[in-house]
Amino acid sequence: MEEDQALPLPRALALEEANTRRSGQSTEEVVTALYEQLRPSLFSYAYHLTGSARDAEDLVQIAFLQLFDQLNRRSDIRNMRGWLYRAVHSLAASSARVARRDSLIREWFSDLEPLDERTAEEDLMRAEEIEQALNLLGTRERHCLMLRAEGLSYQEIGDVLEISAKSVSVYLARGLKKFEAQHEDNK
Amino acid sequence: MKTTNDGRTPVPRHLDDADLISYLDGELSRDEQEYARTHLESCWNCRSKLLAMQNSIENFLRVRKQVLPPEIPPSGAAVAQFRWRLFQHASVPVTLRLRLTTWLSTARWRELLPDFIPLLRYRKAAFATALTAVVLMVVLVDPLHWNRVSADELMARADAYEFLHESPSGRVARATVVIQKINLETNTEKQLGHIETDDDSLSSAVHLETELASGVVYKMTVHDRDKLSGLGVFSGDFDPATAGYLNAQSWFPRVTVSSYRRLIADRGFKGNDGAFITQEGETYQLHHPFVNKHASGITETVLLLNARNYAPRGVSIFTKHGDEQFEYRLTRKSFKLVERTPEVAQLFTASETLARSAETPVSTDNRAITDAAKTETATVTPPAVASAELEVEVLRLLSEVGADLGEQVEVARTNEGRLRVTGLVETEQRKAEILRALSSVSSNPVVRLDVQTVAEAVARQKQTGSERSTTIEGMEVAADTFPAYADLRRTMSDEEARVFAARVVSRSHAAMRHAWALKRLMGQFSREVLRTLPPEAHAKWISLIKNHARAFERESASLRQQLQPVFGVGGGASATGEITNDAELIRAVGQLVDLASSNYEVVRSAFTITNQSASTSAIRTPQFWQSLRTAEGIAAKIQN
Repeated sequence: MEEDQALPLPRALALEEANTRRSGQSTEEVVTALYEQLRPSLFSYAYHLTGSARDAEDLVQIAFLQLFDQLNRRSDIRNMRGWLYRAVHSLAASSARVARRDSLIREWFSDLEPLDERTAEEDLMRAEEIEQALNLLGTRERHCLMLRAEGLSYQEIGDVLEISAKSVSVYLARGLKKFEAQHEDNK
Repeated sequence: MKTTNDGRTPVPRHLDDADLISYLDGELSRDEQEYARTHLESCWNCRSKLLAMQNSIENFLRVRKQVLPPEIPPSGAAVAQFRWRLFQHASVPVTLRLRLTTWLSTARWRELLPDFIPLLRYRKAAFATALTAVVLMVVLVDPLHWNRVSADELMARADAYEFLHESPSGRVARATVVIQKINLETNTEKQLGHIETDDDSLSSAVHLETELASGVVYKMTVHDRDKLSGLGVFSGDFDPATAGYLNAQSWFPRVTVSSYRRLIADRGFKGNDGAFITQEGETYQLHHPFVNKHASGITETVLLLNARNYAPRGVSIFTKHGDEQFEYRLTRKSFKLVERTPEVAQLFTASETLARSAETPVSTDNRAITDAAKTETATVTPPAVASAELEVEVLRLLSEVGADLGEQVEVARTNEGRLRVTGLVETEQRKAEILRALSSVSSNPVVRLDVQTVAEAVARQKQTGSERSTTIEGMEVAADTFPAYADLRRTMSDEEARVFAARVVSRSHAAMRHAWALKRLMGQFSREVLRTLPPEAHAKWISLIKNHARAFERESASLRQQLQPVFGVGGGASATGEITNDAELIRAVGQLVDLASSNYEVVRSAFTITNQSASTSAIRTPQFWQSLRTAEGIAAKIQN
């Protein structure tokens, strides 16, 4: 990797990259570079939402394809990271849309080997673990905590979930409280 | 959070949970943060709540780690997959349709509607005519349009299939292709033979076993898949014009989409223009007509694809020379991925000289040999060593496509004196670009090209077991501002300051890349070689150096201009003098590279986020500014 990618500030970087790269590089390249950079973090969140590594990978890729479309429409995206989280979030929320939009691609990739070794059954078990570990949390609280754990600011989280930054702090605090109570019980 | 009190009673207002987490996350306003800090100092109650909160965060992170997949699948494969998906997304008509839909649903279009409506009301006749015209156009144009697009789509899907299913790393792809020549007048067919290819995904070597109808078997190993080209022993079965074209396209008789692309590359039409699709049972036939009276005598080629999964099934080449019409039909008889067992791997370890024989077309006379299983062992003695002239030419070609800037492309000499170009590049396109640039020297037996993409390298690395695992550390950014941040913030917003820093660093890096390129060019030849370099080659070498010096000066000057308003220190004269010989040039470049690296370090430490403590003081010293100017001066001197 090049030295100037050492800035661990996805926001500034994404902006700058988009600006400098768009002049010389195709949108495809810009999007691919961003994908390489942000994939791990988005993947974790998507995995949390879907409970399956394969779906998570898929969702993240679709989000980036949407980003590609968006950039091609010359739309201005101020905060690409936030935008991508929102895209992943709403994609997961309406899985029906995912299926429709992606049916074509799914078709060709249908006999593709799974991205990881784990089977659907194991995915399910894992999903149950999440369920158990976090089952006392409300959906909002869980989403806030997960997004915060990925390093998003309150404002960014608020944008993804369409709530205010102040509410984010309330959800986070409540989420942690409930989580701690559950955690104590499990001991 | 309310921070006001009536001023009389210093009764502290306790912090609630939301305040505490916001405090920990640095999300409070400055006043609130300050209040919270003072309060926490004095209030045990709140402090213990804060510690509990901190503890909860840690517990949460631990559980989160457990519920996340044990390891995120490695990026290499995912990125490669994504590239393809994006490529298809960008090229298939889905996007086209989507874009059209988006356009139709945009506000601008709706704004136009009211203007239309009165028109429609009063000019029904005109509207009807227009509508008919539109319908007619759609009826007439659409089938053509969709056919063309479908050809693109079909190729893209076949590409995707091939990429995903036929080159999985670590295994060997074994395919058998039967070649027939069919006389279309008499409808008689003749078996020419069959070729079994073993593609090694690990080393990119290909082992060939060609059996002619006569029973003669040729075995050989080509060490570089890209060098697999030419009709070889089948040349005699083709009309010379056709064979000439096929060899010129570096086509090799095999059934893959990538080799089919070579076949149609110069057919006289752009892309998939004029291509059409027919279907026969479970097979799609993608026809690519050649331009009328194409020099090769080829009238059309057809790619046959499995209609269910787009796997390539066969390739047909139709030719017409005078009254003679032939079809050369390549049919894939079998395809499988076999494990790379030691026995299989042995196929690829044949000596280098064997590989060379694949590049020199085997003369048809060899076919007279009747050994039932002759092993091709023709050796080609390599012509001495690569000249320094050739080396300069390779460097120049690389420079033309900008492959001498920071990318890991290297030109080195092997022990035998051959030139070896090794490269690690980001994308397939880039790889193709570099190989294309080098095409004029790639056939030279003393030049070896080994350019691979990151994805390929990752695939190889994975095999050797040195793959690094990916870990996610979302929260572990120690600092989030760079040393010069405070200075910039005096005149800029947060966003501006960060963008400024990113710009400066990338500018400085751009300058550095040219400095590195200069250094590499300098290190390429010893003084003895330089002395004996023919004048033309020497001039070429000098002009490469000047180009980089010019680019360096440009980048460095604009970096200086960017920094000047915020950190500028006046004074300092630039270097003077003239360069009269190679020795001075080498010294000047050495100086330039040293200065450039130290300047680069200063910029980097001031504008990037590091965990080590760094300061901006260096950037304000007269030495730094002097050094910036001196470097520019030297760069200018080199150009003269």
